[in-house]
Amino acid sequence: MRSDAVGPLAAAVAQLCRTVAPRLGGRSAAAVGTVADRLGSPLQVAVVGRVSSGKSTLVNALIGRRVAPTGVGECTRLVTRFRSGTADRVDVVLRDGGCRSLPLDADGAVPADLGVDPTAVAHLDVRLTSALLRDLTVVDTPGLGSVDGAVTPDATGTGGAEAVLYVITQAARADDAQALATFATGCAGPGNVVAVLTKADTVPGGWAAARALAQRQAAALRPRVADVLPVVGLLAETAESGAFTSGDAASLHDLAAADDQTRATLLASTDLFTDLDAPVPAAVRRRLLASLDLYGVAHALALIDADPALTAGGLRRGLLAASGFEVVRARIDAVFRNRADGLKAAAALASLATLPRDPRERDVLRGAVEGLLQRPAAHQLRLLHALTQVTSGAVALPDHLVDEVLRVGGSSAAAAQLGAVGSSPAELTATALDRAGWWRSFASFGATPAQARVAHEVHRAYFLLWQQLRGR
Amino acid sequence: MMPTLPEAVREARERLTALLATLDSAAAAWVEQVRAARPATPTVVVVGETARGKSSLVDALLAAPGRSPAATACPVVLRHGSEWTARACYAGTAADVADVAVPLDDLARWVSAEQDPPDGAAPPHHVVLTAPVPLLERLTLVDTPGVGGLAAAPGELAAATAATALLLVLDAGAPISRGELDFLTRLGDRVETVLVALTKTDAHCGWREVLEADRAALARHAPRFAGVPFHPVSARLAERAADAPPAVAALLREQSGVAALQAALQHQVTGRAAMLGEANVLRALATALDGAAADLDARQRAVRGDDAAALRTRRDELTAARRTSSGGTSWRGWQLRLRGEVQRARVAATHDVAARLLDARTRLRAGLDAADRAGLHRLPRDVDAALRAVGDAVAAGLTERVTVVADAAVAHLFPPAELAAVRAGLACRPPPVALRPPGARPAGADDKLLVAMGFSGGLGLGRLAVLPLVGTVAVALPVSIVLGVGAGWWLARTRRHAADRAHLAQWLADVLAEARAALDQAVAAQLIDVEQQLSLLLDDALERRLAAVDSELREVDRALRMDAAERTRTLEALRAQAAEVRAGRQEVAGLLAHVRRLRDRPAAEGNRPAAGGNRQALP
Repeated sequence: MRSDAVGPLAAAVAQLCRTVAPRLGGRSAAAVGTVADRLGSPLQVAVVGRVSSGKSTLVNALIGRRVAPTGVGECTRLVTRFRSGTADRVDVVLRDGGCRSLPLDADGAVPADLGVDPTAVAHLDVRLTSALLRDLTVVDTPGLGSVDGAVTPDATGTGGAEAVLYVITQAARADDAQALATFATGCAGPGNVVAVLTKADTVPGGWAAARALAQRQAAALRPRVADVLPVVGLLAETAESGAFTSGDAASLHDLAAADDQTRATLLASTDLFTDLDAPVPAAVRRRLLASLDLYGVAHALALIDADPALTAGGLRRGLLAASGFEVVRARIDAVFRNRADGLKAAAALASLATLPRDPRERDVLRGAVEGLLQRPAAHQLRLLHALTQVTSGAVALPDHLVDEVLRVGGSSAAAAQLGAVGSSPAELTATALDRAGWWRSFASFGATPAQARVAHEVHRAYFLLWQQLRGR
Repeated sequence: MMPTLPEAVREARERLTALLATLDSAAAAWVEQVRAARPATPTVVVVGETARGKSSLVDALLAAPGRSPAATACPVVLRHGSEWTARACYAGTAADVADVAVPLDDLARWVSAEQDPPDGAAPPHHVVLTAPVPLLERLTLVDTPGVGGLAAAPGELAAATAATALLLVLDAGAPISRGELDFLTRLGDRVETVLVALTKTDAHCGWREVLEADRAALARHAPRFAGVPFHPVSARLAERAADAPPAVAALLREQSGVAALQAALQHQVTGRAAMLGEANVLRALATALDGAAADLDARQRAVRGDDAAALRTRRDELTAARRTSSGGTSWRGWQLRLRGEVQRARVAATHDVAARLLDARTRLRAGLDAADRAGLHRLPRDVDAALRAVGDAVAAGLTERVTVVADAAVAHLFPPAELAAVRAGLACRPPPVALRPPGARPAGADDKLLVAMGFSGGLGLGRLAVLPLVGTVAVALPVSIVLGVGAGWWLARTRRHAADRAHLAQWLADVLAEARAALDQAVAAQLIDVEQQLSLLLDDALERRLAAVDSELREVDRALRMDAAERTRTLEALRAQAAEVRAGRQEVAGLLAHVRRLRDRPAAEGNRPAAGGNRQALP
């Protein structure tokens, strides 16, 4: 896990900001200062999606605590930033610049009553003593497409986020595609959107069908989205936040003792689960339904059938495995955490380019940025820039080449970059050299000038990869 | 005891028809004719976003689970029949394009968006299914493709505009979104009855809160639908009830809520259709009563003896107008004016056609330029949908324009005082203007376009009942122009050329040029017909008016020979009759207003949500 220190690329950009600020006017200098400060803080990941798609549940699973309020219907109405701090507290930031502090409520969640008129609040800043937030800041946003507010994709605070976790349920729709297109042009940074298909238990046909649906969605949404992963958000939240107690496990064991017909009828619908006569009291069943839903209960009962002596801890692990959350966490690590340095630097550069209004100041800034990009060590940044151009469609490449560029720039593990997971080091080295040569030829002979620039960066990436593999 | 609305309507109708019969037997006969005409089976259109479970719900309503394939691509019309059959129908009624009988096993390939029809046939405009299900004896169900998906089709759902009722399908997992709310507002304005079904209640434990949130959202943002009844259903439970042991099956079926929805559909939709049929009769009665009242007024005037000179002048005017229309070598006055209006309407319609096609071309071209491989394969479908939308819009605009022309011609010819009588006269005339379809185009593999025109079957029953009586000539001219991409579309799908963007761009340009030519021709043909028929109609109206004025003059002559006592007696009788007719007219207007109010607030007929199942134990 990375430490709190700023990576080399981000440090370089911060240095750039510090040298260029004295040469600019007051307001631009202040803006550049905020960019520099942002570089020192952890990567911001915004969780965006339609109303009631399971964003807050996913946020709780990521943080490992039930902090964000969840419920049926529209729950989150304000942009809420969760970051690491020395003590738990909620800062209510008002539109006029004022700030109030509140403690978390008795359940450890953000209090429902903020003590101020909600329309006067700009956003919420929540500090938590959670180790998982040390190198990632999670931003929970109000849902898109709400009937009450005109929540446009820009207004949800993604303008300040460097990475986006896009949440879809059932299937991606036209307004999801539109929102993603807005991110691609407005949000700084390439290949930094990962989509998650939540409520995967509602897909008819089981886990295999959910995975197939996710793959189809990924094919439809590429290249704006790196991948679509199915997950059962509720199970992940319950398993990760410690809401699954031994009492729950005991109730599940009791339920498993019921006869087959009762069990089948109980699991037919949520109303029947709570209303039917059964060995377990209705209140307990309602609690189980709220924390596990029918899919979780069915899976737990199946686990108990397979191993009647299963402990509460074993059940919890089994439920976590059934939620598919481990894959999501691994992907977030690979795509966001391990590339945080490059993502932050790229985002900072993009916002620097659009900052000043005065043309003279803009030239100064552009010149400084160009100077930074020319340096050989800034290769990673140039590769990310090439990735932006390809994913936003500014440079047209055939589809299979786009996929390859995404693969190279989308991860930092050699095997994943070469698309040859499980091959031997010798094979990897050979592939890297081969592809480096191919891209070199493409850049020289087969490409338009814009394509040639992109191809040159990809060639260099493969070349560096080859050197790294050979030197092992 | 307050009589219910249907009883009050029936009683009023009978009484007033009897009154009318004493005054004008022809008009009374016409009203009886309108009443005897059986109203068409009401249609219920199921709409909603993609993947909400519309097709599963329709299956559950018909008790035929598993019939519908996933991802419906074209509307499926379900009617009553003696056995299960399926037919794929293409745009229009041209003789060269026959309906294709589809074996039920193959249904998925014709209906689903994920599969293509066999043998390279073109995708159908809609599919008609007949089923021996009792529910379909009273109403027709239409299952539509979902909106708002990734492969969004441009253009509105034309099927919904002719529907009697709309069944909006919402998901129980999330409250209604802004897109769905806008969709409802757009469609619901043209339809009288709206019901809402909340599906997948078996999978989401908080569906009651979602229902309340939906209801609150509707009350806040779409007050017209504030009282719409909500029905929680679960198609999956209904399916499982069919296979479960009988002890459990009853419980599952009750929990699924499908029976409650069926009952609501039958009660509300068929009930309202009957009510709107009565409203139609009321409209006819109102027109006839207006005519009778005007007639009585004229007779009173004649007996009083005023305006004798004005009458004579009017008769001369009408005779002059009639003389010029028949046998004259040069047309004057009103006929020239009618022709001018029709030409103006034609220019406006042609301009409309050009604008809409240009819009469609820009959009389709942009789509073609930005499309990937999958998008190129989908292009013919998109073109088909776009052309269909353009055809519908042009037809609607044409209908409006023709109505305006007819109104203007009538208003030009007859002063306002006479309009009531004229309208009554026109209404009694048998069939309204019929439009002729064009000659069948010769079929060929290169035939890229299918065009059909004709009667759309009339304005929806509800619209007739609630249109204001003033300003509408009683000639209904519903026009429909149906455009579709013809059998030649497969050219675009030939494997060699499928990915060739240039080839597709050429094909697109060809199709749109042909569409433009076809629409212009259709518009011109319709307007020629309209002009002819309107001339005949107005000629007829002139004749009648002349006859009426003549008879009035005769009355005047006779009244001059009356003595004072007789005159007062006759006047009294006429005045009494006129008062009765006017009272009857007011009553009819009041009843019609009541019906209109019911349309805007269907909440009056019991809309409590179906209770979510009792607590029961298994035996």
